[in-house]
Amino acid sequence: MKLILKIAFRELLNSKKFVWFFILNLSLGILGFLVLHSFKTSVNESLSLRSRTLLASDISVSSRKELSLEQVKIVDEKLTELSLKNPIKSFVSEVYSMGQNDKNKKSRLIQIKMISGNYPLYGEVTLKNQGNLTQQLRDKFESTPLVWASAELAHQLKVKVGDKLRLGDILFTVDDIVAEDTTSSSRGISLAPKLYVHHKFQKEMGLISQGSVANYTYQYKVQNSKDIDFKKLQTEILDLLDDPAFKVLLPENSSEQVGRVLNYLSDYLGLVSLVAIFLSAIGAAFLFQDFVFKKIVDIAILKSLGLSTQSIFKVFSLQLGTLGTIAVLISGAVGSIILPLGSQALSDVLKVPVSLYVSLESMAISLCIALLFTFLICYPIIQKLIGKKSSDLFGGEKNLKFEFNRLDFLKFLPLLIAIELVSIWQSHSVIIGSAFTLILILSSGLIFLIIPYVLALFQKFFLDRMNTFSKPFNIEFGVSMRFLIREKIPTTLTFLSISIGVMLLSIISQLEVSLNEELLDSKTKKPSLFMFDIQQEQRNELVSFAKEKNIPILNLTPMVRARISKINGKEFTREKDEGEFQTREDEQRIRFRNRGINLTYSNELNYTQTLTKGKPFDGKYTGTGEFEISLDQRYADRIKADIGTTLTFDVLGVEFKGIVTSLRKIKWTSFLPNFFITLQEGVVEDAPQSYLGAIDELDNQRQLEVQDLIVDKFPNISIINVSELLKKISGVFSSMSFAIKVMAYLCIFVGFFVVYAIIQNQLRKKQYDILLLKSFGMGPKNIVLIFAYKFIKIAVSATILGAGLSLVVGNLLSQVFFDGVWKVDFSYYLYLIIAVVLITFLLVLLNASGVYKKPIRSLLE
Amino acid sequence: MIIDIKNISKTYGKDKNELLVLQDLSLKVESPSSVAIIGKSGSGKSTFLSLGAGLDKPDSGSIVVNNKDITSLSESELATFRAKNIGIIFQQFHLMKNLTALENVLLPLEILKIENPLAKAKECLKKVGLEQRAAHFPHELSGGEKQRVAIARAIVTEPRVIFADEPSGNLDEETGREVMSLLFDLVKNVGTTMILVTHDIELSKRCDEIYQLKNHRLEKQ
Repeated sequence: MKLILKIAFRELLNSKKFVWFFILNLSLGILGFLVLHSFKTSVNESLSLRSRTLLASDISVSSRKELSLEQVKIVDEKLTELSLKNPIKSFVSEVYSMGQNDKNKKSRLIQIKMISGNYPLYGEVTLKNQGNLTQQLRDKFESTPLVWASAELAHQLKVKVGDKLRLGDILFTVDDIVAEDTTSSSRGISLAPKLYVHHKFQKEMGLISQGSVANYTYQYKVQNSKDIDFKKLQTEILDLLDDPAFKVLLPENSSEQVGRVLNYLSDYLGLVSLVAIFLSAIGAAFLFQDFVFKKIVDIAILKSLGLSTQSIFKVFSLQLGTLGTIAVLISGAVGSIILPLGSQALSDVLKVPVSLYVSLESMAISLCIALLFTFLICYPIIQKLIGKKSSDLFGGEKNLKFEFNRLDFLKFLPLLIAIELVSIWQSHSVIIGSAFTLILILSSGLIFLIIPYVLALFQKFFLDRMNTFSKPFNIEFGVSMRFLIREKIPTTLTFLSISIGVMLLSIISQLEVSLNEELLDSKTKKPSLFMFDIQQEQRNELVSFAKEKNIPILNLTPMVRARISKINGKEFTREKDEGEFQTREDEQRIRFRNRGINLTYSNELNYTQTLTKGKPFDGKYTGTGEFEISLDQRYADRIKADIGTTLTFDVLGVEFKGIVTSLRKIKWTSFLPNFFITLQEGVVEDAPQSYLGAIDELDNQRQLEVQDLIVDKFPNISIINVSELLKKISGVFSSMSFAIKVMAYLCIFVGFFVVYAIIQNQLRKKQYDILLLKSFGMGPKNIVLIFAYKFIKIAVSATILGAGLSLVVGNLLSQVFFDGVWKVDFSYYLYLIIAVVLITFLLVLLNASGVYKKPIRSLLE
Repeated sequence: MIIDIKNISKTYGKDKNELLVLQDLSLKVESPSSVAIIGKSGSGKSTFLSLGAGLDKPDSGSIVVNNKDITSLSESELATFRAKNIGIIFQQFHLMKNLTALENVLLPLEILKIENPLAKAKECLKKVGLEQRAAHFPHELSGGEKQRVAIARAIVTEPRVIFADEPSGNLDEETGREVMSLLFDLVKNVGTTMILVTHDIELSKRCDEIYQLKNHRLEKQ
């Protein structure tokens, strides 16, 4: 072992240039990974710290329907049994409704939080003038119709302390403005600003009627909370309530809820960071391969002196391990300096308290991934090389026959498995992780099939017809074409690395553009206002009112609240949240199974829907047999339903059984009323229902007028201002884009490092040819030109192919993940090609001049 | 006088590691003729060849080839002069592996922009007996064939001087003999001067003059 250590470190000390570039390249990739990992950890930690105050309790039971007295008793008894004391309890209900400034008649959608007891059980709601909530304040709040408005609401409605505000049937007085609220999440987008009223006024306001989207929560503070296994308690209460409509939340669930948006962002960034680390691993592999090939004769000597193949393998593994560890330490040190500096900037941009730092855990993870990737890329090369006979190796690199056969390519299988596993782990999604790996495999396979074939065609139709170098352009072009076409393996490998790098980078850029388009979708016409809570009896009156006031109402759609009780006759029960690692698909499925659903009925498709499978409804339901059901295709996937699946719905205790006859694709970004489940007409028309509707595009002034007109006439109807919501989404999205762009630029930087590593590797292999050209009288400019032609030809065509592949893959991904919304920023590709050409030329210049300086007398050595 | 080397010295390394290879070495060669430089391993034969062929510069002294002092030329002037006046044959052949035999011979002609390069390259390959192997790549040729291509490449530009570094060193005895016979015949027919660096005494005897490199200088045998 001592000998192995000695050989490994002596070689490294003698190869300073290689060591420097290898570490620099790998450090950049690892740094990217560390930044993202740190970001992710920091967001999770800050959410976890805030989770108890966000939930405002130790445990809470919530649902879209009120708990019966019996159910409340069950929960109370369970908690008393565990803590041996009565728990402190608070009841909160929440509804979205319109509120109107009584003075100026301005109206806005408001998130009305109706509180009681000692809310919040954890955390604080601090008022601007009256400070923290005291018992005296709570008593006053309960006895008088007062509201505490958020600053945002006060600003929007232009209300101040003492002003009157109408909520449903009651005229409230603004008692104070909320200065700080620890129970508010930092999700970024909420439909409306918040306001507090006492729960006592819920009924009098008359806002909650059939079909209203309300939420009821019982919050509990347990006396000896440290001794209680809340996870177990959560399961026990769920079992006791035995109704999937109820949610029992713990503080950590609250942070999961809050962090969902950020989770998706960090999953996505996780994949981007994989691109960074994968590209740097390719670069590292090229550099290491170069280093290993320089040592061919040394390997031959060591072998002939009796050092076993395993020992030589250990030497290289030790070198890789040492260099990787140094790279991680350097990245860690650099990260520790720059990350805290970035914390404040990122907190401001993302509107989330972010404290970035490099943890030992993230350093260990990045070390493992970087070494794993680099080692698995290098392993087949090293293994094949040191397996060669000493006599073959003694001839040196120039005389060594080293080509991969098909069996050798199988040795890259562990690399693919590693990429697949790491991708799933980073993206928290089997689908996205596997798609990422599949893209890599398919595009690599395609390039390995296409490029040698294209080169053969060039040989046949170009070189075989050109008898001299100077035709058709000049001698440099002619020589470069011969190098390019006849060096099939190096050309293909260079091509592969550049095009895969470009493809991955371009997909990132495209996903960003598509994600933006998905959220803000400029092509699809969007309504200005979206209405909900329209009561059945108000429908006709609203239509006539709209006609009279010239309000363009769109798609008034009925909504029935229901619950799926059975699928294919089998009870549709709650899935328990078990195990540490959950993919996003698991999370989504559990979430969807655990909540009540809203459905509609209609025999027509609106313009945002298309049938993707099955047939349209067969007219109105006649009452015999099973009625027909159409499902949103993604919802069908989540509840594992397909054509022919029977679903049983529970509407207010009455069960209805139907069969899925079609799947439809819905453009959710249209902001028109749409539902996951549509039933055939003639089934649930008699069930209690409310209506949703939209109002067509209006200018800003008219939007506000229409909003006030409707609220004045129908105080219970809630209206979302779609344009304002889009502005909010756009704001949050540009914050996300910022984080993604920073990573994409880092990836591009690492990508060019790979190109550098490739060019350096290829030029070194060509050094004898360069010396010969020099001995024939060729000047440095002409020699640089030969290699510039060669690499620019490869780089431009690889960039074009990579860009082409990214367009295909981006389109496919958008079909799968973004409802087919696909937008391409072609200027990005133009800039990319220009950048590739310029940087390739610079890199050739930098490397070729170094090789050119080598004296021709080396040919005599 | 085709070559006139006067009092050249060459030292490698610095300070304690300084190694004197050539000292006050002089040589005059009349054209056309063949000169053998013999010597033990490490005597400085390769250094002499690299200086004479303009691949390296001496620390002192002058080297006049075809009436031009090549030690006073700039890098680019030297590159052009060498391409036009000097041909080099290497022990390891040094053919470009991605070019065919014909292209390897054609390349120096095109770099020098000589007229009818294709016809001249083909003719030269014919001279070395490889016209049938013109489209073959180096890895498809035997050692002897590779060296014949290298010889064709060295003479195709009709240089005034050819420097040959152990041309048969990597060949078996019989092939080596055949290749050397071909080389001597071509040199004679073309009317050029050849400086042959070798440790093979028998081979050196085929040259018009023999010099031995000993104690950093050349001694006529």
